[in-house]
Amino acid sequence: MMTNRYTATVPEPAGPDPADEARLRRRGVVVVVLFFLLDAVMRSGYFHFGALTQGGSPPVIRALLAELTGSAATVVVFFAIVVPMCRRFPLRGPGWLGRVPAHLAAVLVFSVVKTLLMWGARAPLWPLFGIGTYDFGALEYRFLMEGANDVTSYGLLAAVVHAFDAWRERREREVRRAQREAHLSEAWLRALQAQLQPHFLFNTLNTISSVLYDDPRRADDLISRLSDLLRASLDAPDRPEVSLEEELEILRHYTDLMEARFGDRLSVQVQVDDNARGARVPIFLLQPLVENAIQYAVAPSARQGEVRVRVRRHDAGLRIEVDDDGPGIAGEPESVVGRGVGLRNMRDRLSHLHGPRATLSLENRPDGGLRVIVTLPWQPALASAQGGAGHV
Amino acid sequence: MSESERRLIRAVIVDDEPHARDKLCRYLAEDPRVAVVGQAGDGVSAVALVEELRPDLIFLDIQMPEMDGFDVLEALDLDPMPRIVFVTAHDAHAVQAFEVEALDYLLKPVDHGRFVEAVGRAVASIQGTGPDPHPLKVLDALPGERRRLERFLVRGRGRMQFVAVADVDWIGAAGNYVELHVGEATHLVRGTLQALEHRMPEATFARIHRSTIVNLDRVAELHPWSHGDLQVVLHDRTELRLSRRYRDRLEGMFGP
Repeated sequence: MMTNRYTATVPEPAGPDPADEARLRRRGVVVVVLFFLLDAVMRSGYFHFGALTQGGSPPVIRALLAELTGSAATVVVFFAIVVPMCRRFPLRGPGWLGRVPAHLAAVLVFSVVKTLLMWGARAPLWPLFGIGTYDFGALEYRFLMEGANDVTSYGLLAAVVHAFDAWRERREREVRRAQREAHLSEAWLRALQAQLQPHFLFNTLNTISSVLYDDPRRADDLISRLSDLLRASLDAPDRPEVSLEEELEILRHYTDLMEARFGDRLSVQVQVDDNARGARVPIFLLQPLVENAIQYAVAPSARQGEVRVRVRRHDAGLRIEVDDDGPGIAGEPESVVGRGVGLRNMRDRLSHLHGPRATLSLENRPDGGLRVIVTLPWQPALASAQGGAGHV
Repeated sequence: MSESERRLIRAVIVDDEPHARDKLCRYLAEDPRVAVVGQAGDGVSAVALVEELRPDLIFLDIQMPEMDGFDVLEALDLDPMPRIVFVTAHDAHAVQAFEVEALDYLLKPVDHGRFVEAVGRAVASIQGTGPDPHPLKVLDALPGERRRLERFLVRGRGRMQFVAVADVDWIGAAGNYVELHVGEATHLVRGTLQALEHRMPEATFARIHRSTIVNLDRVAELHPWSHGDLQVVLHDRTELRLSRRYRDRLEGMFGP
């Protein structure tokens, strides 16, 4: 049989919605254009009335056209030069000082292009509106005159772009955090539901009520096992991680109960390498994997079934393998993740705890049966978690 | 008529968990009207056992390996059918169907009082003094997704075998039976295409004719036929007919 292998890809929170981003960008452009339009009108008023105070009487249209073309040129260089420069060479974060020269060069280009644009726009407009020919004056001084003004303009515009970007980043972070939190609580909720499978609960209670007549001592034991398991399950939301020893204890409670239910039909073997002991693992890591193996490999068949659990250190992490001797998966082993709630939950929980450093994969074993492999980054058990072992 | 003149009621218990069977046995031992004549731990042996013993009453667990309680019910070829008390741990669909068809059921962990009540009703029904709902009706009351088929139980000469749904090439109608065509072999199974159609995996099986369901993975070619019908040729060169009224539904399954 071919051995198929798939590794989990860990879903990152989606981040802000692209449609929302586009809307934000459109709104930004509109605000910038409106601001410069308003600015042009105000400034043309300033210069027109300024001329009147000196006893002159220039046509209103001249000041208005001069300021509108000035604003239009500024809008163009703002989007063509300032915005891309600030994104490419942000003046914040580590090493921002090294990026200052790029902006000094950009100021020069900004000023020259803007001046040329103004000249190119005014030259044909003046005759068109019948206000004579546009006199640009001595070009070398003109560049210096605009240049002196543009250093300030560039600085202000760059500051605006930086402020906007910082605001947007914070907003994105916020959205991502909210998404992650929503994901997380949902994953825990589903994980809890998976642990307290009502089927498991009712069948186990039925077993206990039957054993009660023949062997009260054993029924007593089984009630303790079930209580331990329920307690661990109820504690799980507050204790996402436990020591491997505690987790093995939880698994033993579970397998004791299942072996009582299935009698000779089920056998669960657990093998833990010595150097793997002392690890910290997500709570309810092993039990759902074994439950999955029992559900799909042992329970559907009337013959005897065996589940083997192996925990060992592997590279810089922990490797857990759960093998069954069932039929394996016809076709894509990955398809079983969609079928069983247990494995999907497990993958969600692993990704929330460890991101891409944890994987859950499935393969058909060469001699039949399915193997579920979980890898985790190595984390030593916490002292306090060890101390809690007594009450589990 | 006194108690002793009545015939002893013969009961069979079907459950995959030994303790669960023990428990019902224990409860039944307290009732002199009923004798447990057999027990089965899985669906296949349950069908064989029930057909051999022909009990009056079955306590039938729903969730079991390979064949669940409903599969057992469907496979039983008996007339009259035994009375059935269904047992389930947690199955909302099943419980709803039992309620609809007024069939008796027990929830695990089984309560003694409730058990006594159920046995009382079954005894009354067997002795002709109580209502007698037909157990097979529960199969129609179950939603389609609850009754998705994975395998057929096929009866050969003196033995039973499973045929995986995916191994079936095509299915033809034959009165109250359907013919499963599996390679060279043909198996007769009780049922109708109508009922089967909704229980086959939708992605691979399609009704193509009033009397045919085909496994789409086996289709090699399609040829135009008359009146808008098509001829369907399977990989083994079997020729089937795709009639116009199923054509539209089918075209949606092949994508653009």
